[in-house]
Amino acid sequence: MPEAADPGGLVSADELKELAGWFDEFEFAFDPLSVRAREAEAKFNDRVQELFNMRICPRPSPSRIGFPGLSWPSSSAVPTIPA
Amino acid sequence: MSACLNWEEIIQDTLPEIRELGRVGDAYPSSDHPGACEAFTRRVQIAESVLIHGYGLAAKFARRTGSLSEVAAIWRGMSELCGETLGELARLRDKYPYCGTPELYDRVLDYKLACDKRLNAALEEQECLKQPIPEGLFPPMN
Repeated sequence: MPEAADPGGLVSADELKELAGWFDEFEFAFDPLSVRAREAEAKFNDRVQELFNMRICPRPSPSRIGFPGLSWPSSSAVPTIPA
Repeated sequence: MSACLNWEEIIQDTLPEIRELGRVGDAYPSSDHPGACEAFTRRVQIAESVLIHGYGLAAKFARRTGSLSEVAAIWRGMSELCGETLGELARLRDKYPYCGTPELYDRVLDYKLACDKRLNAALEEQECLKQPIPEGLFPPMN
């Protein structure tokens, strides 16, 4: 469970550090076309997608993540398409 | 060693090298003219090296600056420099098709896209800073 593994937030400090490392390697690469920079960018993008799929996408619960000013509609407020 | 350079100086020092590419390209009636391709190839090589080195310096400057608006200005300047080079090359690549011109055009296009991507990311990040971070997404920052 994400909560048990990381009580501090959905994305842990270690994961942020890992992402920052990849980001640094491609964003500030001396040669943006180098294999190393492009690999770092691919790893960064894959990891962001993976974290999103694992932690955020499956449970978009307002009790877990709060976007100030944004409220989730109740099920009765969701429009339905008439048959 | 305590001498310092700022980003504007680097751009200002690079721009004449790019304009020289155009000047040399225009100086010959065609690439078949004796010495034309050699002279133009030399300018192509210089333009490539100053742009590649300029990009690397832009990355270093962007990493060290603490302001997103400065980061955006650095990448905008580098992108404009690439745009200037592309303009000269677009004008001269048919005249000098065998002097490394099409290859440099492709390379500079890649660099310009890399600059634009970083410029847009800096502008986007500036906008993101105006939004509060969703609660519970990240651990508390100390």
